Amino acid sequence: MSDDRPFDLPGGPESRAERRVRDGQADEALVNALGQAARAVAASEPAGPTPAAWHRLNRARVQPPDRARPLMWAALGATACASLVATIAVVRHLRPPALTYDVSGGAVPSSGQVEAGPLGSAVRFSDGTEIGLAANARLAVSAAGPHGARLRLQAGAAHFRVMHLPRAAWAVEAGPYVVEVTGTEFDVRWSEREQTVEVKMVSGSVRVSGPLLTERVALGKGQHLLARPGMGDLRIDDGRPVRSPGNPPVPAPASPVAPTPAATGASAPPAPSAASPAATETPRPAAVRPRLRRRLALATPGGPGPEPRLDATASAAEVPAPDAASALSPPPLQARASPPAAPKWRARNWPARMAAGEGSAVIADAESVGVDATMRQADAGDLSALADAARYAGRSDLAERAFMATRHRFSGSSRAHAAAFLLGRMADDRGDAAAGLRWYRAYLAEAPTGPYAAEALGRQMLIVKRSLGREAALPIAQEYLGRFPNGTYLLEARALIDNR
Amino acid sequence: MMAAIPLRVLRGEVTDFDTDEGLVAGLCRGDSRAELAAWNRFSGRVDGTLRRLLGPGQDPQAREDLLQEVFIRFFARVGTLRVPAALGGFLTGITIHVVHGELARRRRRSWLRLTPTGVTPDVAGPPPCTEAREAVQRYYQKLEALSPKDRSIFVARTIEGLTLAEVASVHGLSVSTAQRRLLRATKKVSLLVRRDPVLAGFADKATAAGRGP
Repeated sequence: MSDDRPFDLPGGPESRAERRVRDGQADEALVNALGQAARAVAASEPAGPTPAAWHRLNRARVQPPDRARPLMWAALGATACASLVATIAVVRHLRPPALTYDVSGGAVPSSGQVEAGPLGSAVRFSDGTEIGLAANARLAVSAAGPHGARLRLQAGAAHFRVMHLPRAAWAVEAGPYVVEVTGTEFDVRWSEREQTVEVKMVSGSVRVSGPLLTERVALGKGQHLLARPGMGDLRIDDGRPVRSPGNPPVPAPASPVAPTPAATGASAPPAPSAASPAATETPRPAAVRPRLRRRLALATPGGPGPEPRLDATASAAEVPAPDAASALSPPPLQARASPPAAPKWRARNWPARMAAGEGSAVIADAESVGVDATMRQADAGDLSALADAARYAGRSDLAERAFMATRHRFSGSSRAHAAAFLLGRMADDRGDAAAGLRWYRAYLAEAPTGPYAAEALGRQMLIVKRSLGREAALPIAQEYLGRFPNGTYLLEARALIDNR
Repeated sequence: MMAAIPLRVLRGEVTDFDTDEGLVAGLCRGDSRAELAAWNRFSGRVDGTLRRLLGPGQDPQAREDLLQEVFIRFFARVGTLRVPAALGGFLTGITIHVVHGELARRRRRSWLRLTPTGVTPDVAGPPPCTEAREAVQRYYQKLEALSPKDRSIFVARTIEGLTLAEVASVHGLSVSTAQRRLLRATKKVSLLVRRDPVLAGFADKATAAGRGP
């Protein structure tokens, strides 16, 4: 059979779909012809088994089963079991089990949640890492692995003493900030009401990432980070603000950064004062977002005192040095008029965690951040991963919210298009044909050649057939056959056309 | 090759088993006359199915072994048949399963020992065959490029002539999946056939003859 057919038909250039249909028909004709030949050759051979075959069959049926074969299979099975055990042992050796932890002096209201009592509590991990929670602090252990865990300080202060072990990997989330740890001792405090994060180093080093930092910043022994992302305030060490190269450094406020009673454990050293020599050093080269223009926060960090004032009526004692304030602060009224910037979403790598089969951890993570906040702030990749995790977990309400958020916030993107299809499929699967149809049509209008186009068109055809009848579905079936001659709904489309 | 002797073993009265219902009832009772009747009625058909599924040039003894295997499984499982009228399809399904298993076993053995049986084959001269036989033999060789399951689906549909629904049912697949695998196999086989000048020439002629003047 030759394949040198002309590309163009007399009526005009042949479309790709037409060519696919024609190729499919040619393939079918070819195998049919060869199948016919095969049947003819088989028929030409002597037909039927020999008469002795029946007797051999009966003999075979009464013969005892071959004893060697079960023994062989038993030996093979034993070998396979031994190999399996050895493989599991090797894998377990290479990948030790996840860390476990005990809680004393606190409550564990649900899996992974620790609530300290009025006297605080202690969390001890199986690798020796210890966490001391201050009174009424709340901690979530969202993902414990063999070499560390991801912890979220939901409220209050905690003292961390992480064992320095090979491949140790710990992360502490506090508000929008993440402290990455390999082995060290430090304090962390997070106040949701004040939107304040504080990290105080005792020994070792950590890396901190989050708003106002364009890259991770290393903190060493004795250093202190205080961040109020909502107010655009970030200080390292002794209250000295870190500025981008475009903004001149600002003198530290008159009052030293006082350690909070909660955050300062017995082992935590007091933070260096603003008057210390370190305050006059050049700021760290850590990159800070250029948009940092807000005036410095002056309230005592961490304390339960009043919120810092941003109005123009603040007393002279409360404002920074006039030169600094005039150079960097926006006009007070402007500062009051513009709301504090929402914390920027830090990519949480949910797509990778979904790929690793950690869908429930993704959902737990989203819930620990807050579903509303996630819907408002998460990036497109994380939202899609959350939607998928929710779908797989049967949380259709959460999945729909994530898809709707994707469509609302990232309209026009391929993820928004895919969300339309998946919303349609969810509606279709729960029997809401009208909603399913609307979403499929929306998807096909937005992404006519998208990856779900064949599925959307096929499902649309079936819904129309069910709800409006065969005649109404006929044009869709014809379109389907033309566009997707090898599609999954080929049989249904053909059946619709043939039974016209 | 041994002369063709159509098999008809006559022993006792088997007229009770002329209908599918009677035959199935007898087989379920373990009536040996029913087994003989089933053999008389279906062994030729099963043998033909085996020929078509395996292709020409197969060892007759090996084929008879498969035939025995089919009937042993048939007698053992006929009690699970719920609709006696589906007796023929039930037997065809067993046959396809047996061939599928056999081909998979041969593939494993050829991978381990380089030949289907593990024994070095005698080099035989080319069999005296017509153009059609040679083409069909080459065709079956091309089918070896498919996985055992794809091959089984493809042969059941295009050579054995089962409907797509039957193919899907026998292989434990949905119709959509069977259709998709069939299309994939068809495309692959067509490509291989077109690359073989002998086979492509034969297929061209066969297709033209099928189309008519």
